[in-house]
Amino acid sequence: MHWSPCGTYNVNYTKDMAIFRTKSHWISLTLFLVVLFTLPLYCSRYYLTLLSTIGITIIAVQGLSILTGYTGQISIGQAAFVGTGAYISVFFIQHYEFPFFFSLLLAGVGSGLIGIFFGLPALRIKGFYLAMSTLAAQLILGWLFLHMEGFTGGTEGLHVEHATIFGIVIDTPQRKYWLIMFFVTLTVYIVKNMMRTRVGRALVAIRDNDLAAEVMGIDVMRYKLLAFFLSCFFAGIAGAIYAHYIGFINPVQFTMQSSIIYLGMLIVGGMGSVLGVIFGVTFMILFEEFAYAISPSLTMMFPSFGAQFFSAISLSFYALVIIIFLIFQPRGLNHLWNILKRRYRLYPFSH
Amino acid sequence: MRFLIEGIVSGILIGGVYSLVALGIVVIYKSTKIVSFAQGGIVLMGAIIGWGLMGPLGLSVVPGILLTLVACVMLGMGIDRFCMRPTIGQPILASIMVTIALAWLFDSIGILIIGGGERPYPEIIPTGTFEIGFLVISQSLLIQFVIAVILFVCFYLFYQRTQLGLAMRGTAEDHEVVQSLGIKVTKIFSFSWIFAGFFGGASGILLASSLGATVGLSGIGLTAIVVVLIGGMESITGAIIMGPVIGILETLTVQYLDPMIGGGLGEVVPYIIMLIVLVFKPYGLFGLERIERI
Repeated sequence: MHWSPCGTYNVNYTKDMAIFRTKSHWISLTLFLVVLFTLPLYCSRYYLTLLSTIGITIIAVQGLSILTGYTGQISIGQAAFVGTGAYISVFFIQHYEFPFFFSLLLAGVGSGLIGIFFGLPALRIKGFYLAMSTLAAQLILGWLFLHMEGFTGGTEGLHVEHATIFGIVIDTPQRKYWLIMFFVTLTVYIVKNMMRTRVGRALVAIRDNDLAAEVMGIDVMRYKLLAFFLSCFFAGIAGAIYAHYIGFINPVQFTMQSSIIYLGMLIVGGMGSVLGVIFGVTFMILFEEFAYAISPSLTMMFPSFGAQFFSAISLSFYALVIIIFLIFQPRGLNHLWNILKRRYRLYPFSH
Repeated sequence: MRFLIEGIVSGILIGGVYSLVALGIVVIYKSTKIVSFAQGGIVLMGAIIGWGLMGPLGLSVVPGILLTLVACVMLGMGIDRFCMRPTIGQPILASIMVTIALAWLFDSIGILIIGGGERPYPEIIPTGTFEIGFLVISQSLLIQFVIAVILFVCFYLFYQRTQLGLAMRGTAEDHEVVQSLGIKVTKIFSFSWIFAGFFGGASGILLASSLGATVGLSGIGLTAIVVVLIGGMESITGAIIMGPVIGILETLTVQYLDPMIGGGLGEVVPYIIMLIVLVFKPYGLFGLERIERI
């Protein structure tokens, strides 16, 4: 194993498939993980909150990426499935006092099964029609969140107790951060590797040409429903973690707007890659922070606009970012990163 | 019984505007194969521009309406030229997301201009009610419906009788064939967006004149997409018929089911129906079935 990627040649298929190919890869991975998990020891609370939000969103968007990025089925309902997971986990913990991990699993599976139900139209339709059926899922589930008061608490929402894992109460921002980052690392590991197995290749084949995939012996319907299940499973996990992170859930947190922002993150990052999701989520959330930061001065500059000014500004920022990326850089930040990597590998020669 | 018939009649009358918005979406879809989520935004812009011209700027009704329609047509052209054209050839998600983002942009512009409140409109359409037999019908709804029907007829004649209409129908069938016959497909795309802008602006003025200009008006865009999906994406007849049907269903749900189950069901019912229709007749009730075989 060499130190630099330049001059490293693949002499067998195992080497060709490897994600980490050089010593410097392994070292930088170890360093990154060490920094990621020791951050709470020397980092301020503000950054921990920011990173925790980014982490939870990454889990949800990795799910969406399986469905939309890898399988090519557009979903405008991810936030509703995040909400479903949140409500399911809180329900089981509060009413039956299930352990945290078990309720987390139940949230994922329950959310995934509901996802399969709304994915059933995928057996007959695709493309835009499917997008509309997931939009219907978003609106119908959103309505249920509001009106199934015994289960969800209606508009008043639910108060969520701190999670307890093996006797440790997850109550400080540091502990929450560790919990979230553990799941983020696990999710990234699972998704990255699952997409290199038979399942992942089947999903990509369906995205690229579903007829050809069927001819090659892929059961298209089964894999489409599997993609729905996986996508909503991760959404449910993200929801359950979110509920315990924020300590309070109500239907306003799981609107169509967040579903579309998830899609926007996917586009900004670049479809069909694990790293792209991380880029996209980080970019969009930092962008939102930026909008928060400048909004007081903007409000001072235009005092006549009043209270709704901020929501309008952040909405139009999101819209502009999505439009600009789709027009000028449709392959997202991940593409830029790949270009950078290739340049570095061949530096100082251009070919 | 009287209650039921009144519900049905007002549902039909409300549905006229749904159909008008839906018609814009169908026209765009037929030629460009793009589903415009931005149509609700164009409706909102029509309402706001109309309010701005006739309210604060003090134009009288006729030039105000004409200028609003011109502005909406320009808006449609601008969307086509600067936002939709770069996405030609990209996957379908790109065009969907661009139109959704545009809808957000229009929403936020709306919030910046008129805020959360409701801006009153000059009285273009007389408000008030009149009675036929035992039915009490809102005058403004009836006039809205009549104007919508007139616009449908005009568009139908245009689409069937003129050369441009023929070119648009040809583009709906096959882009390459039409191009080899010497018709510029991108020009037809522009015209489709022009029509969508026109219909959006017209329904914006109609809606705002009875409801007042509010940011909530853009919500009609989603309902219109549902109308179009149930009727069939390619079908103008479907859009025109399903608008009133969805209108009836909404009013009846609000009248009969809401007291039993709880508020807001009227907004969800169209989507439930749409899911059922999508599962059993994926190309809509009046749509053209595209059969895929290996």
